[in-house]
Amino acid sequence: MRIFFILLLFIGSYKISAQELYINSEPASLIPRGTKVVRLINSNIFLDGSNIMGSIGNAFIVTPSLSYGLSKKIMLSGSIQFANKPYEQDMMPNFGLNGFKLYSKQRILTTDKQKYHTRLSSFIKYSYHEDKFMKDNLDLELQDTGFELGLIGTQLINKLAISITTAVTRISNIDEKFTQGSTVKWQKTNLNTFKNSISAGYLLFPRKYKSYKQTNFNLYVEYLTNTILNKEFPVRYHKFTSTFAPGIQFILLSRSRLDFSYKIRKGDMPEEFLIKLTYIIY
Amino acid sequence: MKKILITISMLLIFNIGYSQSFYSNLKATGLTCAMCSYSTQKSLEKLDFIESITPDLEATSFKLEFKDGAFVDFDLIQEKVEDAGFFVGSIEIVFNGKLIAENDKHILFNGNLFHFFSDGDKETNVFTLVDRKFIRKSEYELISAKTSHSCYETGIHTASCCSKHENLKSNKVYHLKSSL
Repeated sequence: MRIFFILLLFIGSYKISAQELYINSEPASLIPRGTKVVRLINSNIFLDGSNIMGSIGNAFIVTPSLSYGLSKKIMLSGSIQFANKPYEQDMMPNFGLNGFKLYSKQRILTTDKQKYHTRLSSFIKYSYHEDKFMKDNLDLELQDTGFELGLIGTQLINKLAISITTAVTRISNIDEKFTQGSTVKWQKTNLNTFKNSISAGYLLFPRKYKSYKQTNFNLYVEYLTNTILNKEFPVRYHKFTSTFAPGIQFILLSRSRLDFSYKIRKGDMPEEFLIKLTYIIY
Repeated sequence: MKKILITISMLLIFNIGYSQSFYSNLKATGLTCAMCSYSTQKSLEKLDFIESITPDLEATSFKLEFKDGAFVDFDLIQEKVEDAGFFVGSIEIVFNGKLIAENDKHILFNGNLFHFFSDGDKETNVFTLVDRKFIRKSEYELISAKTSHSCYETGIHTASCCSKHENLKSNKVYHLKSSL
């Protein structure tokens, strides 16, 4: 957390260009009308060797996704998730379909001036996932099932771009233990959470834009939190969890992106390495 | 008679050295990266009256050159920039010959009708598009108060508002103010 603020101060005190193509959160801006964005995301969750009981190896997740700019105000996105089963040793094949996500982002407000802009968007997301990788964690993006409704605000002032996302989720794949007399039953229940994130990014190279062919190199820092709103919830979950995610990004030929991010989760949660490939089809 | 007058005036326009060609400098706002500029350029490339686009990435502006004889629809240019998620900051029209723009004068360039606003009769070749959609509301009201022509409000050329022009490719009229 402290590193994050130091980095923010660093960004604020130098004349550097802001970037808002965040890796672990969506910016408030939309993709251009009529364009398609193809993504391939690979997540490695380091279960093995950490404290995750019963895992036989890391979780290896591959998510292809397609986004489409329906209009200048609406963007649609869909993705499917393929993953291994890190808790099932005998399962063959160990890799297969695990879920899907549907996402829509709507532009609410946008004001642009020369070196200043404000963007506000709303979004709705539905996630379905068969298996969980981190059994004690809630993550609608990676492994849970439910709805998410939120707002994103991105502000650019004097070359510093900060984006804040705030959302409520209803996660519906929570296993809860019930005892009726002497019988113990497991049942699916819901949990509501409140999610917040703050992201900042800046351009390191090139110092001067000359052509579309220049490779851009960007640095990002993101901080994501999740708070359970229910008064009662299974003890294996934490009321408050947070993730710190530094990342680097290469923009190639102004139309494709290669992102790397390392997610450090607070507490005993496993860490994660993420690679994201993006290509824009005009 | 009118035809002859128009022919004569057209000839005069060409002979005085008002060349019919012009290009535009489009300044876009809200762009922060080369990827954004590229998206804007790709969106603009869909317009068939644009011959070439030269970006200045550092200034987030684009030099637009137009096809000979094509009607240049600046509303569509604005629409394409906004489709990409950005805004038009300003559009400059640069004629390749200097001209004296008298106030409320209309000049037809290659089938594009321009209406000039001027405080003086200075000679220049750089003008700014001052139609309502392209400038701030306060600026628009300032100019609006000074002209009696309804075409500034509507953006549409009519015989009752402006003098009659023939061979117009569109009934749209764009308004220019000298950038001096």
